[in-house]
Amino acid sequence: MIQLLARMLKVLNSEAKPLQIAGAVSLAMVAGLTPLMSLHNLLVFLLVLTLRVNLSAFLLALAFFSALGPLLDPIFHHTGLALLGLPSLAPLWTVLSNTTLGRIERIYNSVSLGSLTLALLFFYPVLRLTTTAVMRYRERLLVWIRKTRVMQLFKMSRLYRAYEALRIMGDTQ
Amino acid sequence: MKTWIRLPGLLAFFILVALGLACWYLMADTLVRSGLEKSATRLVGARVDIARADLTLRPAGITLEGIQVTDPEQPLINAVTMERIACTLGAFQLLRRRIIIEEMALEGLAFGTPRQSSGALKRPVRTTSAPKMRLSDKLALPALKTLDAASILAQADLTTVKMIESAQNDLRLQGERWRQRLSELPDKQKMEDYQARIARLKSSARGKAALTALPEITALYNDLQRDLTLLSQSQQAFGHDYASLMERVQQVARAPHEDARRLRQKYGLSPVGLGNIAAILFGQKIGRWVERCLSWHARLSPLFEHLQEERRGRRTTRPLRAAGVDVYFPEEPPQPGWLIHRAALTAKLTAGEFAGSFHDLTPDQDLHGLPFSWSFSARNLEHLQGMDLQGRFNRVDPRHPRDEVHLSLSGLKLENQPLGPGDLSLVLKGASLEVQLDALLSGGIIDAGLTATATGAAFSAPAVGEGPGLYQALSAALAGIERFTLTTRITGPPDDFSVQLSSDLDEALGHVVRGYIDQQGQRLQQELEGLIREKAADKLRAFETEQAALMVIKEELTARLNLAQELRGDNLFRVISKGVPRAF
Repeated sequence: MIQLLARMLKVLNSEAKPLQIAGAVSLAMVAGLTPLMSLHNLLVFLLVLTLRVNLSAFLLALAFFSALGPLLDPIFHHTGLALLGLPSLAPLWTVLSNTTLGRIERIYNSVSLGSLTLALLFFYPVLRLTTTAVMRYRERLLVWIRKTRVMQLFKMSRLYRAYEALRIMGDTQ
Repeated sequence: MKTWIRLPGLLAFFILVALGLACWYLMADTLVRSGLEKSATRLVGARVDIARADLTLRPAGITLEGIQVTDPEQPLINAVTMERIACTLGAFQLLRRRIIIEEMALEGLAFGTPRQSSGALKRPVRTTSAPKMRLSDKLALPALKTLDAASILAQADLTTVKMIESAQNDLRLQGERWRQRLSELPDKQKMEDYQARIARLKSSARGKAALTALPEITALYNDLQRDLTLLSQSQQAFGHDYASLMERVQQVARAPHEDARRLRQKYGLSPVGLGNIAAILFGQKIGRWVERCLSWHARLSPLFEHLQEERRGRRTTRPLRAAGVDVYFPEEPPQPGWLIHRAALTAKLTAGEFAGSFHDLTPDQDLHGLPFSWSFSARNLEHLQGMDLQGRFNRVDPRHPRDEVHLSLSGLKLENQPLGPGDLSLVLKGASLEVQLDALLSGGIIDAGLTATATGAAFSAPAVGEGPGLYQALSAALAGIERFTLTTRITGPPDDFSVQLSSDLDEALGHVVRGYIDQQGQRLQQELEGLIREKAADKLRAFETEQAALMVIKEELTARLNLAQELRGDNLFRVISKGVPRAF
């Protein structure tokens, strides 16, 4: 647990650019909110590994969004059902349902389609919001936190020592 | 651009994908076995165990071994076990999330084998379509034990007592009224006055003086005649009241008998319910068997029909193992989600042969265009000479489902089968049965007919002196029957069906039943009447006292009338009748 928290702190304070962290969080949102064993998630993992996004941030965010996903299933279901029921889109779904890729992707399922649609819809807003949040954190909150008495005490804790060890290890690599 | 691309990541991706595929391949058997166990358990409502699963990629197929399906109603018994199921799958269709099985082989089929551990689920699966039948209501057996007379009387509301009380009250009131009236009528004193006046006139009105006394004689006559009329009218009125009261008295006298008859009808044995001996002997067994068949039909129905819903104008179905709903879109060519074209079954038996096959098992019959059908046959089994079972569950048009089953059994050996209610203690020791069943479930209504002919039947009766007398009488009569037929008709909706049974046993045993019921009824009625009379004895005595008091009034009234008539016939009044007009 301490290692995990330390890792989170390290990610937030690392030299990684805010956009790289935000990219990881946004991709994790797509993978976490949609059914994990889906074809599009293979593409997400390919992007995560080949683009210079922060892997630790991705794994942490994936755990968070995977836990959040089932709670949002009713919203995904209603969104997906609304889209699948739109007469104007019926020809598109018919074509996709008749393709092997469409069937593997289960495009005809309300939760699959709803979660993928919403995840893609929120991809850019989450990217922007996370970038801003990381920048704000580093500019203001981090400086203030470092000066607080609580932080001074925290620096003497086991958690901070673990974090330091990770940071130094990361710097020397 | 270079700063955004992590080329080693590409390598890592392929390594991870390869590792994932390897892991899946290594664990696929376990995953498939576990998945199938879970799905089948949910379907059946009791544990389904699979000892081993083997998935092959070339050719794509699966082999399952050691399959045990628990009977949900008897968790220590397997409804069915199979040694091996092997099938080949269409690989391309599998990629498209369709399971199309051209050929399937089910080997080593066995039914009703014991389990080593209970197959009951800790959390019972809720089967939405499982029927709830009330067999006891449908085949309500008549009460074969009657209450004793004292118990019946303890809870009975007797008319006799009420009637006596009411009649007694009326008698008392009438008595009081007539005693009052009697006091107002000319009494003995008045008659003596008349007698004295007659005597005086007789002595004074002799010879010519009689003519002068005529007005007084006439006045006396008129007085006497008026009182006589009054007494006569009163006697007539009393007679009317008395007759009415005597009618009540007769009703009271009959009341214990009527009460006893009514209570016999209410609490005694009814020949209506007992007339159907077949229902008593075989009703429960057949009813339970129908319940079991319908229960399995409901449990397995997801295999041959999707529970479809209309949502937002489109046909949808709820996937078994995923969230949300699947929406149907037209496909070219239309393909079912999963389909078993043909499956051949062979059973491992100690004697005889059992084989069969089923065809076109899919929940999307409307897409496939063919109904689920099956055919099984058995020959020379241990307790069965021959069996032929055919059927089809037709959902090609989902709006008009039509399921039919045809079964014929020959030489079915029955041994030591208890019949009827538990306290009947009647056992069919042995019989050979020929059975023909034709059942149809269409439009939510069952219509099934079953005919069974038993030969070489032998019944064992309870020892003399044990159990209710009717059972003994029935058992004794059954002992002489070696052959009988049983005809059953099952009709109605699955959750509220009715079973009608008839048999030549009804005719053969009817007179035994009727005789017994009549004898028991008469005995009960006699006992009840005796007890009612005993219970009402005090009231009856009081009633008789009131009746006697009324008799006294009657006698008094008669005596006064007689006296008045006697006085009116006196010689003195001949004067009037000899020429003098009476009415002046």
